[in-house]
Amino acid sequence: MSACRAISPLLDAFRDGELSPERVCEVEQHLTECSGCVERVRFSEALRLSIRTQTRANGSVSPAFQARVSAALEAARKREEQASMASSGRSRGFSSRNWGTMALAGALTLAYATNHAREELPGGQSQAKTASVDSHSFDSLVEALVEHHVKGQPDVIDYKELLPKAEREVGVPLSFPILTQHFRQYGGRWEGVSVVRVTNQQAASFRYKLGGHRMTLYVYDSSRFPVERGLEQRLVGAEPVYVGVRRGYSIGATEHRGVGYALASDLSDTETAELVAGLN
Amino acid sequence: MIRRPRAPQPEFEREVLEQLPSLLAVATRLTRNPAEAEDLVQDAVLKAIRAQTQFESGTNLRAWLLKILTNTFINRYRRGGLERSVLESPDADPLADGWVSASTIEAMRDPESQALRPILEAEIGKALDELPAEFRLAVILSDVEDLSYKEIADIMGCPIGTVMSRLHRGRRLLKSRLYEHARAFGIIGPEPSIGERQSVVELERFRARKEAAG
Repeated sequence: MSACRAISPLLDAFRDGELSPERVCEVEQHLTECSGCVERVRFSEALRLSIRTQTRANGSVSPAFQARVSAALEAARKREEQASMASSGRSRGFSSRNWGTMALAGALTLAYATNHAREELPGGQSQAKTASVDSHSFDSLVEALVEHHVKGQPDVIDYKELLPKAEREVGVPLSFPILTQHFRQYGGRWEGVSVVRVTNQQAASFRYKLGGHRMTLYVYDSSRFPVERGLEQRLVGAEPVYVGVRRGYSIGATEHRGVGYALASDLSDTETAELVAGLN
Repeated sequence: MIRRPRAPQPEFEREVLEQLPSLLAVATRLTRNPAEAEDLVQDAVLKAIRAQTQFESGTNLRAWLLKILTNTFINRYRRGGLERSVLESPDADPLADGWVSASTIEAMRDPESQALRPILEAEIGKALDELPAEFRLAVILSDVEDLSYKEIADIMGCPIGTVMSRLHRGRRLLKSRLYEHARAFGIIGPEPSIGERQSVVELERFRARKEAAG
């Protein structure tokens, strides 16, 4: 009995192969003498076998799920490629002789942006994408976001209808299943999605509700709307985010591998920053 | 229709996809919901591909993926009270290891399959689902994935001693549940033997002493 007391706490580790050789010898010696402990080891082994059988029965991967994961990986690859192309494009030198041309282009784009900001594209009509990067683009995006948030227009609930063309138009993978679920961990509920036009670009707009608060998230190609001014940069954990307030609403923005995220909410700016940092 | 040949899938991605069944099995046990399990696995796979440069070639890919899966799960559910469920978990031990007779234990085992009797095996899924999440995870990583205590400690972000404690408590709760089930189905008798009763008394005395001390 006293030997059992000493040995029995070791039986789990013995069975798991975690004992030192000396201890293994002690346990094996005891097992030659004690039918009770032999039965305990056998029972534990039977339990392990049954747990394994029961758990592995859940590991059957359906073709639909396999296809979904492959599609998500494919989208991530494309996003990676686009991000690296965008960054190499940005790094291809802005020499001083470009400044005059850029200033003119910037002025023209600003005029275009003023006329076209806040235009909705409910059905997500196809439009050829043209690059338009200027220092006011992000301001236009934030303006459109706040306007959209204030209006609270109904969005499409069944995103599967929207998915094929939305990703094509926005130009970055939208990770619909992830984004529709993302804020659930904070108690948020996804309510709908639409494609919106900001200046001459497209963004996807996701709408959520968190408690009594509304949230609107824009997802877009970050190379088209670089954050250059107007928002304060903060670190949430190790994640850099941009935070500010527009028309009384908190704005949080971040970028990850070529995809930009801008969130408008009536939560505090700290909460908005935390929510948007979690998107990385 | 002319199909353009697809670019060959990167080797790392192929190896990750080979682990889908294992990841899905563990995720289903963790979330207790097939749809959530699929979301969790997809999320973890995407993170793994994104972080593939951090994977040390030659080490255990499955353990690395399970670590990402586990971290994703914990981050997602931490606000849902995972820690609370562990802190408030029962520490009941109606089946203390020392006092159940060999014949009682033997009666719960199926001599042919080397597993539990089928009537008990059916109970395992439910019993696992009812374990506190961190005990459940430790048991699955050890008993299903055959990972070492060190690998489990690395995945769960805790010391090896904590892994051993969680395994011990998780397995004890499972045995306790199966013991009750076996009694309910008449697989084992209700009365412990005289020797066993003495051991129970000893255990109760020990607890009383422990409580008095402190």
